[in-house]
Amino acid sequence: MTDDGLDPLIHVPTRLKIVATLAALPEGDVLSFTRLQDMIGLTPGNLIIHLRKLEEADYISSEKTRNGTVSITTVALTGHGRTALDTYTRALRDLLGGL
Amino acid sequence: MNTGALDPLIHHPGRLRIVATLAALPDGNTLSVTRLQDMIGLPAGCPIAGLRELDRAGYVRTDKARGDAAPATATLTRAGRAALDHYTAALRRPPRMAIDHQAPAPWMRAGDADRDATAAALGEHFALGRLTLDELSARLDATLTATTHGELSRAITGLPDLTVPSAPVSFPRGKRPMSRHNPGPVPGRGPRPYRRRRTRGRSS
Repeated sequence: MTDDGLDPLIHVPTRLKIVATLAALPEGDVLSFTRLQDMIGLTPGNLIIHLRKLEEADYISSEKTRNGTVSITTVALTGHGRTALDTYTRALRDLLGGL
Repeated sequence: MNTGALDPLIHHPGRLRIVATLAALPDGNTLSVTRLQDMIGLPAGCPIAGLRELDRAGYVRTDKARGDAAPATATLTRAGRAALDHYTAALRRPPRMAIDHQAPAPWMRAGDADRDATAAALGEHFALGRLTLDELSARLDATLTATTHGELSRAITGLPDLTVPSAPVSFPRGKRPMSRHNPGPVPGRGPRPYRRRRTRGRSS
């Protein structure tokens, strides 16, 4: 395969959806895990796996805060992740040639 | 971006390349497979697998020269062009954020921020002369003891919308419907108990 610029980490539809959803937030904003799960419609286990992959690549960051008995995990797109998505969309647009 | 609607047959990077290359030709034009391979930048033989799948789906028509095993030419079919149009349209659709802009359901638990916002709105209406002092204090009592959004909206009933401060997209953290019969430990906070159990410890 030649380097077609389509980042395989982002190209997987589920992860594309996660990254696109997080990218729609204003920069520096975070989304709670449960809300992301609601918006994307995945099971928790499924979502965690994808989030972990994205986090390993430093595309997203997650933070777990304990609030009494409730712990809340929030995720956010990193600057690196935003750049990767920009690169990805540019590559896709080039590929589709303005279709 | 509504990725649920992304045609997996087209979304595959190799096949996407084939379809996009063929779609750049005028309708119905045929491309030789060697030329296609060259345009995609693949060594000979590489795109055949993707081509076969696209052919099987009816997106691309491939034709073989007599006696050849491998296809010699490829054309995007009308179905293929329609599928690609559908695909690009799905990509352009913005992600589903509407859920954040809907008014909360009446049974949704209200938090301090919601009560404060309603109380502030009542104060504004009082300042504008829409409420008497007695009405204000009765409605404030109802507001400050409200536990659901339904009770809050009853407390400001009959009053016009002030310019609603737009709710931040992300900060209703973990706010979700709670059953009236089984309110969570902290009203309006955190996921339902069974969800919490499933995500704890794994969502680092």
